[in-house]
Order: sequence, then structure tokens, then C-alpha cells
Amino acid sequence: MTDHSLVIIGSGQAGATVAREFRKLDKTTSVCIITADKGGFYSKPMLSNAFQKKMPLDKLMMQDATTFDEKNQTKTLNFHRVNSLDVDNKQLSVTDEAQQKTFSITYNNLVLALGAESIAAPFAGGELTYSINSHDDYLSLRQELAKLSANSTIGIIGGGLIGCELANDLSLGGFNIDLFEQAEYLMQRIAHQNASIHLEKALSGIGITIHTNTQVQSISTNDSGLKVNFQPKDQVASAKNYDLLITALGLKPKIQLAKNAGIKCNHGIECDRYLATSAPNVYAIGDCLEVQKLTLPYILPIMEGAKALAATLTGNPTALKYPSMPVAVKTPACPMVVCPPVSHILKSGSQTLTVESANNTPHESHTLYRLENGSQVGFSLTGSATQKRALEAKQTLGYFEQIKN
Amino acid sequence: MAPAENSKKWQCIVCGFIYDEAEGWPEDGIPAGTAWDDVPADWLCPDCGVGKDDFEMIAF
Repeated sequence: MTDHSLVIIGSGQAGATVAREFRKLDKTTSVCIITADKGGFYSKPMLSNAFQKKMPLDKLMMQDATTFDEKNQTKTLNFHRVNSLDVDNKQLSVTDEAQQKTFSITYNNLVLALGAESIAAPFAGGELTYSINSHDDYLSLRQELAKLSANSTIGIIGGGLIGCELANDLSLGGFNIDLFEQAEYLMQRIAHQNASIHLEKALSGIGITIHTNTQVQSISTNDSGLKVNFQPKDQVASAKNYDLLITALGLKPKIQLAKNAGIKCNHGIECDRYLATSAPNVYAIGDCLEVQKLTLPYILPIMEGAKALAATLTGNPTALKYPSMPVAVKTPACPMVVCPPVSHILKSGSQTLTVESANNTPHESHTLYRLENGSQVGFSLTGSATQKRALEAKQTLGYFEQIKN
Repeated sequence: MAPAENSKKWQCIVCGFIYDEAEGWPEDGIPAGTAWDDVPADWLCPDCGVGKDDFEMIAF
């Protein structure tokens, strides 16, 4: 049996950031990071703009597990799988996959940074597509891309944040890109349609073919590659061949380990403002976390969470603040920053918002959301309007204040 | 402006964005040649929005 004061499960952006922030405040307590993959630290957002950054593949991993451990005085157990969590005895059952050995680890405090998994395709042939949710996923994609000639055709299914970023990035890599989205607009969940329209024009302008309002029905293999059957709304069904397909259909929090341990879960692992789960000394952060019904798989919520949690774990209980947290969309064809109102994220129709739109030109769009009392609760900026993001963020209510309203 | 070989680069550890002192970041009104220390304390990473604390100096 091994004992570690602080145990973090997951070495992604959330787990690594908690470890780093904790170490800034506490130089001595032992910290153990358990991860099923190789561990180390890489920038997840960069996976969708590595082409345009001309980033050599071996530079994507910023610190391998050993370097990360040296820098942060942590101990990473990579290729280790957590089988179960016993919250009464504060104990984990862990399997070292290389050695095929199972053992127990006890903790004083446990942080669940389990992340999220890609939502599986709801149509036949989904297994023939790639989805990008980790460094390893990305390396496999790049291996396949390396086999393609530059004018090959790639289909991307899902026109949300990641789908749009990958479309723009791979287009800059010289590939022909088709982008499928079942909704009427790209990034419909988090962007205003003014911004979506601007983005769609810009992506079309660099040669990407965009199929909005289009349902992919099935994927199959044939002699000339991968065949996608799709149904544009109110039109006849159609089909087209591709050399490679990517699905980007969103994320689903990983909650199974917590659920099996009897920890309260909803869509994500339910936590209070101190990121505490329903089990004593067990916390959650990142894409698996849910606070007041919010799951926010973006960078800034992770940074806010990690800083608050590190303070809490070092004896200074600090409630999570979610200030307005703009999301930068890395589509250089149309720079974009969005800050969706909380009612859009929660899909609750209880708040009536007014929309204020200025400078809606071919070069930029500047859209603000307000409550009836005038408070600003979100925005979508494109083009040169993105320079105003710090200003708009300051004027936008934080998420918890929006929920109170 | 500092000679290029003395200028330093700072990388956002979150998203990989690189601030190059030689180039500054004119989009946010930071002229070329601005040393990292002189970048305003409330400046945010243009790609992911984190603050200066989450940048580290890197050597290329």
C-alpha cells in the first residue's frame, strides 16, 4: 500500500494545473498523479491549431511525465488505471498496466480530474472516423494525414468549436475540407448567429465547403475511400466520398468512477462552490466537474477552478468564482471570441435576453446580450471586434451572478 | 528596440501562444521591442485568455 497526501486522478490540463498551483502554495506535501496514458503536459487547445502554428509534432508535448515531476515535485504514475474508489477508507485500487499489478493507494485529499470523452457518432460507421480528445488521438490523426496527398478531401462532422477550428487548421494544411453541421448555424450553442454567419463566410472564403442544416446518416467504405450519406434539410439526400473523416460532436464528462463510488453525479460530478463532491475530501475539476448545473469544458474555468482548489487544499478555503470567461475560437480566417450567456449554456428559457448588435459588417461583428434590467450577460465578437474582448469581459456579469438574477 | 538576440520569448503554458519581445503584440497596443516586464500586468493571452502568471520564458 502506498500513501500520498494529495492524489490527483488525471494528468490533463485540469489535473496538471491543480498540481502546479498546489505546488506554488505547498512545497512539501507529497502529490501523486495517476494517469492511464503516458502523462506529461501538453497544451490541449493547441491540438486544433498545430498546423497554422507550424508546430513540430515532437514539440506538442511541452513536458513529459519525468520533466513535469521534476519541475513540480510530483510523482506521476503513468499507464496506471484506477479500478475503483473507496471513499469510506479513502483508498483507490490501481492497476499498473505495464506490470499487470494491482495495488492500493490511500489519500488525504483526492482530486478527480477525469476529463470528458468524445460523444460517439449517432450514425452507422462512426468507428471509421477520428475524434481528437488527447495528444495520442492527435498523433494518430497526424499519422493518417501524413499518408494523404495535399489535395485529399477530409470531412469533418460537427461544426462546433473544435470542428470549426480543425476545419480552419487542416485547410491551412492544404487539404480540401467539408464541414457538416446539423444545426442552422456553426457554433450555434455558444455563438450568436451574427458571429456564425461571419465565420461561415470566412471559412467558405478559404475554400471550406460548409453543409449546415445537414444530418449525416451513415458512413461506409467503398473502393474510393469513405462514403458519407447525408440529408440536407428539405432537400434530397446526397452522398460524397472522403479520404479521411473526423467527428467533433462534443464532450461527455467522465463520471463512471465517481458514480460507482456512490458520489453524487448529474451530467458531471456534482460539486459545491469549493469543488467538493458529496464524498469527504474528494474534489473534482475540469471537464468532469459540474457546479450549479454548469459543465464548462474550456480553459478559463479550469484555471479558475485549479487556483481556488489549490488554495482550499492548502488550508485556505476558497469558493470558485466564475467571472465572465470568454472563449477564444482559433479560426484565423475569422478571429472570434465568444462569451455565451449562462441561460444558453443551461438551455433554460427562463431569462429573456435582448440582443444588441453593432458594426455588423463583412469584417467584424459585435453582439452583446443583456438581461431586461440592462446587465450585460454575454457577447460574440468576430474580426477586429475581438480586440474589445477584455473590455466586454469586464462589463459582463460572472456566471454565478447570472444564475442569481 | 533590443537587438534580436537579446530579446526573449515567453510561452503561455496553457495554450502554447508565444509572446516574442522583439515583435511585441501590436494588436493590443504593445509595441515591438517591449520587454516582458513592461507588458501591462492585466494583459491576457490572446489565444486562451489566461494572465501573465501563466507564461514561462522559453529558449528556442
